[in-house]
Amino acid sequence: MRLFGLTLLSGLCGLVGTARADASGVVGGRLLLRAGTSEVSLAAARAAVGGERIALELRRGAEVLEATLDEDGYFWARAPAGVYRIEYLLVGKRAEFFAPQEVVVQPGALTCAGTLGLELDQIESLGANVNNRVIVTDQCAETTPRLRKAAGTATERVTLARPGPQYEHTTGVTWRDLAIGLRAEVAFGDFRVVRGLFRIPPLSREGPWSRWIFLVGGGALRGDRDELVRDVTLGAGIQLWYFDLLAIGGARWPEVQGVNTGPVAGGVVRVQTTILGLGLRVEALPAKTAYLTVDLAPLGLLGSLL
Amino acid sequence: MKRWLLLLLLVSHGACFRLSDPIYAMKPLRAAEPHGDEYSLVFLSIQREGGLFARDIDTVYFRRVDPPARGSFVWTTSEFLFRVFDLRSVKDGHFLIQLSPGVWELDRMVSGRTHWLLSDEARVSSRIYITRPGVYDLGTLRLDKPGLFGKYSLAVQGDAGSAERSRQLWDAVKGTPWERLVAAPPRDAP
Repeated sequence: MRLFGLTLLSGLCGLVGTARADASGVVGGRLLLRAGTSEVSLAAARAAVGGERIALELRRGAEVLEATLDEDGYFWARAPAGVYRIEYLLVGKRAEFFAPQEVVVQPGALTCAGTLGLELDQIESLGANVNNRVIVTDQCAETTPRLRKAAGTATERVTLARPGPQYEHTTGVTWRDLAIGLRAEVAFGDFRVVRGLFRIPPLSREGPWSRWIFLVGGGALRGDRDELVRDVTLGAGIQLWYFDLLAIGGARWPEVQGVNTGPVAGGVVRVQTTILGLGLRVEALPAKTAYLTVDLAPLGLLGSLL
Repeated sequence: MKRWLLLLLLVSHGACFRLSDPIYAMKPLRAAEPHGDEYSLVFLSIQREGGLFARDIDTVYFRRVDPPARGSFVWTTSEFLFRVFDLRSVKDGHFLIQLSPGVWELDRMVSGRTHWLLSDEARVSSRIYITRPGVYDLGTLRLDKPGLFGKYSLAVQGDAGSAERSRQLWDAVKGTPWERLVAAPPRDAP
């Protein structure tokens, strides 16, 4: 029984070992340097940068590995399965960074990532990061036989390198950004309106949402007979540098003497610092009027003291 | 009216002192958790010679200069909201800043309301290539102003990797994920 148990255990260990061995693969392709429209060999590029060593590295998270790069620009690397970034070419102690490309290492396979064309204005500027462009093309039919000789893996696949995100991790909106969005506003115009506002900042640093802002607010003003009129504002717009440009809508009620009530529509232009804000609010509804607004972020003020 | 005056007083004095100053002064220089696996930690010091009333530099900006992300800024500062609740990455002219892979240049330094924009030459000489995630010590830069009308200059002190700096860096990263990327400083001889 013990013998059976040991055999089973060693068998399972063997299986796990096999699974681990199969979890790696080879990714390869060809690096093609171009100066303007003409191709430049790796040897010529090396000569142009004073004989500096040129190498290609792949990275996944904190793990970096150097690909084998031959004189004709063919490169390959054996690595654990996963998605890797190629984002620079080492040039001696310097590096030429280019738009990140993601390549896939598939378990037990030789994956062709295509031909990575790195185009520079002048080959002498390699490593100086002046200007460059990456173009990935599918020449795997020509590339794979050469890679097969070097890498020697059975299953062959084609998964071309594709552009990766510029930043893998970015700090998004923090609780501090939200805290300073809570603002107390006084609007001076036909009436003095006091409001509480919550300005929702852009929720991402990149992409279509990186400039959009939203506004939610509520407040009150007093009519001729000191009657209270409630005011609700909703807004959406964009942030341009320190300026907010918003279209607003809302409502004002109940009807009291001397105050135009009903649906509110208009626009706001405001400029703000962490603590103070100054703006112009123009309303087309319920009546054409304009207000000068001053706002303060109480939590911003508190935060600047702590 | 009194309330507005009090508010104005608070706002105007916000730049001079903070209620948290005594607590913040006791906080050690400490590296924050990495923003991601790809990040590197850069340790830089800036000495400012400027007489009795010279304040330390409180903010440094690095600018990325490689083609795909040229122009994006990263900074580290001791002037931020609710700083008393956070780790201290700037202290006594020492700075810890996290940079993603790329080519970076020191772009500007700030002390209170004074900004120093680096010249092209100074920026290029400060250039660093961040490829493999790691911890980099850039050493100390000294900001000098020779005479009343002289121009500011930035001089490299060449102390990167010195025993003292290694110890400071070790203390700042001890117990954080950065620790595995930094060699422990040699123990002092008994």
